[in-house]
This record gives sequence, C-alpha cells and structure tokens, in this order.
Amino acid sequence: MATIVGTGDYQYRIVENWAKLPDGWSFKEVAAVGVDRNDNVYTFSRGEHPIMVFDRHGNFLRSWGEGQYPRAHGVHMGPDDSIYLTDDGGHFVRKCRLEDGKVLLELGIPGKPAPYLSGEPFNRCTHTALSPTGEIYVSDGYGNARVHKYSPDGKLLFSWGEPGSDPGQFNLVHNICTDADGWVYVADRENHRVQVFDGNGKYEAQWNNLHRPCGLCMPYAHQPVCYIGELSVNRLNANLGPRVSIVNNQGKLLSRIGDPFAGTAPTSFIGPHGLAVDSHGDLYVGEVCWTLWPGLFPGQAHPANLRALQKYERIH
Amino acid sequence: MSDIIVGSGDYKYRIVENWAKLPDGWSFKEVGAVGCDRNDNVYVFNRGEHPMMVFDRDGNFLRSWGEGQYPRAHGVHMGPDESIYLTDDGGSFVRKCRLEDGKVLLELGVPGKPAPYMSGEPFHRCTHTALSPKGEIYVSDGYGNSRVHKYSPDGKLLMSWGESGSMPGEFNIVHNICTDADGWVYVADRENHRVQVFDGNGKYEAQWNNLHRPCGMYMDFVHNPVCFIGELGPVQPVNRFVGNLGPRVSIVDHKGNLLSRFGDRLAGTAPTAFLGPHGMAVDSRGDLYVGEVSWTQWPQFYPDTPRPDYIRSLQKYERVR
Repeated sequence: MATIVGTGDYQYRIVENWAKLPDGWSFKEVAAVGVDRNDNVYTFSRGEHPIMVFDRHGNFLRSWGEGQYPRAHGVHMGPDDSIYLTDDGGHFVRKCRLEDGKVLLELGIPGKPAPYLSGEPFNRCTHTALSPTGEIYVSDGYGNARVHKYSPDGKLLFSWGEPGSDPGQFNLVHNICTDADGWVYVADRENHRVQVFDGNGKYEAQWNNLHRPCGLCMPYAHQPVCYIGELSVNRLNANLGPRVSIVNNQGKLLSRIGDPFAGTAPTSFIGPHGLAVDSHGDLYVGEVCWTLWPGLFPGQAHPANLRALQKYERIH
Repeated sequence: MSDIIVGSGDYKYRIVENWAKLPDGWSFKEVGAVGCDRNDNVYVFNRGEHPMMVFDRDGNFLRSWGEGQYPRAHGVHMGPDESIYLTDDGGSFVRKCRLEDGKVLLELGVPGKPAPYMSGEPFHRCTHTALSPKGEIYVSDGYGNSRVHKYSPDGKLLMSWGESGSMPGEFNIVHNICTDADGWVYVADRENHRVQVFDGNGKYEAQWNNLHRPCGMYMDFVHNPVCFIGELGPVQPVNRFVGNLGPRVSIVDHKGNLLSRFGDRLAGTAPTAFLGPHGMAVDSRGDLYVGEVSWTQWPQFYPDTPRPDYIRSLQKYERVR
C-alpha cells in the first residue's frame, strides 16, 4: 500500500527500506545526502563508513572515507564529478573525487578549530555551496556566526555575519545553498529563518514561518524551489516539525511533509538534517535520529534500527 | 543616583539601582509582571510570599495584597477603572481586582482546574490579558494551549483563535498580549521568535521578526504606540554563549522597527544586564520598570552554579529626555 505525502505539485510516494546496506553495516545516522549526475546517491553518515554510495534503486555501490571524518555534517555536489564534504567535528571542508574520495582541496585544519566566535574559519563549520563562478561558501556554524567565501582554489576572499537576531546576524548558521542567479540562502537555525544574501554578503530578505530550519537543498537553477528540513524541540506541541517544507524562491510554502509530532512512522521524522533531489525529482532525506532521540523520547531506549534515510519518489 | 545610561536614540534611560524599598525580610523572589496606575504607583506581581506589592514612584512601599491566592504570578494589565487584571499561569485563571485592596471584581477560569492540554478551551496556563477599546478582554493562553480568547467585559467567552504551529495565526507559546487604541492585538509568540498582529476578530495582519524569544510586552493604550519587548536569551547548550540574542529589552515602533535596545551581550547580574525580562510597565513620565523571572532563568544559564541568595528581579529605568 503506497503512502503518499505532500501536497499540490510536490507529492511523493514513500519508498521504505530503500538502501540495501552490506550485511552488518549501519549508517548510525545520516547527516547529509547528495546525488550525482547519474542519480547515484551519496550518504554522508556517522557510522563506520562515512560515505556510502548507492544507485537510485538502493543497491550498494561502494564506500569510502573510513576513519577520516569525525562527524559528518554537510554535502554539496560539485559540477565536476566532485563532492564537498563539511565535517563539523573535524572543522574542515574537503572537496573529494566522487569515485574514491580522493581529496582534491581542503579548507581548514582538521582537528584545529579557530577560537570560539572569533569569526575566523572554522569552528564547527556546517555546510558548503558554490557560486555561479565556482567560489566556495562555507557556513560556520556552531562555534562561529559567519559565512566565509573562498576562491575556487581555496583562498579566503571575505567573511560576513556576527551573533544576533537582526538581519545579517546569525544564531547557528546550519546550512547554505546557492542558485544560478548568485543568491545565497542561509539556514539561520535558532533564529527560525532562512536569510537571503547577494554574493557579496549583502542582506536581501528573510523567510519566516519556519521552525529551526536545519537542512537546505536547492536544485542549481534560476529561481529554484527550496527543500527545507526543520527540527522540533519536543513532542508536546503539534505542527512545529520535525518536517520537510518545500518553498518557492520567495519562501512561500508549496508543500509540507511530516506528522504533527516527531515519530518513527514512515510519514514522520525525527531529525531531517540533509536533503537531496535527483533528476527525476525524487527526494532523499537523511536524519540525525540518534542525536535527537533522547531529546524527543526522554527515558526511552533507542530502537536498534532507527531510520536514518528515506526516499520519497515524486509523483508527476 | 547612578550615572549608567542605557538605550539609544529617543529611548535612553538612567538606571535606578535598588529602587524598591521592601519591608525588612520581604522578597519578590522573582517578578512575573509590573503595572503602573494613573498616580504612577507601581504594582509588582511576584512569586514571593506577597504576590502583590505596591510602591510609589520613589520606591517607597505602600501596601501588599493577594497573600496565598496566587500560585504563580505571570501577567499584569492595568484597567482603565482603577482595576488591575492579574493572570496566574500556575492557577490557570485571570482576575480583575480592585487596585486598593485586591478585591476580586471578576474571575475567568477555574483556579486550579486547567482545561485539558492543547484542547483550545480556556485555560491551560494562561499568560496575560489586554483590553479592547470597548473593554472586551483578551487572554493569551499560553503554555498549555495555543490560543487567544476574547471575552465580553463581563466575562462571557465570545471567541477564540489560534492553534499550534509556526504559520501566521499559529502559536508556539503565546506568552503576552497587548492592544492599542485602534483595536489591534499584538501577541508575543515566544518560541516562534515573533510578535503577531491581529485585528479584533483574530484576523492575522502582520508579524514582527528579528526578535529572540519575545516574552514580555508593554504598550501605552494610544494610537500607533511604541512597544516595549522583553526578550529571553538562548539557553540551549549549542547557543547559550553565542551572545547578542538577549536577555534584553527592545523598544520598537508599531510596525516592529527597532528604536532602542539594551542589555549586555550575555545574560548577567550587572545593572546593565538581564536574566529574564518578563514583565514591563511605563509610567506617565516615560520611566520604565522591568520585572524579571531571575530565579527561573538562573539555572538555565548557569546550570552548574548555585543561585546567589539575592539576585535582582526588578529595576527602574528613568527616561532621559
């Protein structure tokens, strides 16, 4: 029996148990997901195999990165068969070759954070995106309130942002996306908003009516829609996430997926943290379910196989 | 007289430390809310043994009332007729009282009997009260509902609006409510980090953003009033020390544009800092009183540090013109 979620033009059929992991392997939890031009799916997870690669039917293809990623956080797919991985535990960004994870570029010094709130890169950086001319934006993050912009070869150009709740200020810069017009979209998680900037860091707009927006995904196009994973605080008050919201590029809600409260049903979420969309419009949602379980279900033991990834097949 | 000036632009204040002269051995514990009457006497609705203490504008103690009758002081609204509306979230009730002695003139809700959690029925830990231009009573409700209720002046429930969520017209802890002389209703939607504006029928009109956990609100009952907003600080392990997010007091115009703001970068006990600015009032001279839920907030900021015997829970800010 197919379960359909979402509304309007953005309805999806839930594909349960999509990923076929090798025996005994586990994602633990999935921080982020990416899809390459062949619709292969890259899961950046916090288990023993940080990157696992699957075809679009969930068949396991390969893994890489073992022992090299302390805490998976963000994925951005490069246009040149590369993937940008952001590791908040290690305070670094790496551009890697899709095939085998060979490091092509590294920003930050693994294991050496900049001082807390110094504004210098990085202190628990969170995500990466590219400008139309290939410059690299890094959101930073838990221990800074900054966005940094680098040249394509990794030279720091400038940074913007400081702590606070006014426009241009941040309260946990958690994800970053760009579009083909050069706009930069920042998930300002604990300010409950997405802020929009131009490529020079000039504040343009903000999207509200969100709850702890956490994961962002935008197809790289003109005026793209934005897929937003939102977190909740507890299971007391309804309709505050965890959920996935799909908004247009002015922040207007187009569709929303998730039950009124956090849960383990296929239609609900625990912590939708990283999202990706393939060429068919199918959506993949990675969840940080182990991290968020104790806050949502205090005193309850953790189920052995908590869902950390689900596929949502778009209905056209 | 201290020389500490806070705020900016047209809204600057001289801090008046240790303003309230309490009777020996008395304590506010913490202050849920404050009100000023037309003689500029100050009504302090607090969580100590004397829930209502009244002072003159120089901080001289005048009287107290309400002992044993208010489980958890939360909100104050001054009536136009020598009355005061007290909202008690612990007791889930609202009382209109006579200023002089606290005689109960009207009671909404059943003390100690909350409606079922999130039922939408009045009340479950209601938080604050305001009056329409015609004297109808709005009640924000609250911690255990996501509703605003509107009552006739004599206490008949007319309508309610709101539900849990983050969209316009939805609430995530409805914490305070104010009205202006044009009939607009302003709701501090605390955990959605915004103030929502409604017409008198509950129709959504606008929202103010760029706030952090707006908690206490005060507006003069005039046309296009400014709004005084007490904001709570961040208390999650991930953002407790980020800074510049409150606790603080922000003064905004009636469109929500920031006019003045004060408070230190982080929570604290310095005269210029706040712990939990929860209830505010402005007197006829423009002087501001800020009540704080400092005992409740302390362990959230400093989980490993025992609370000092005395921490400030009320301060006066004398307007500098």
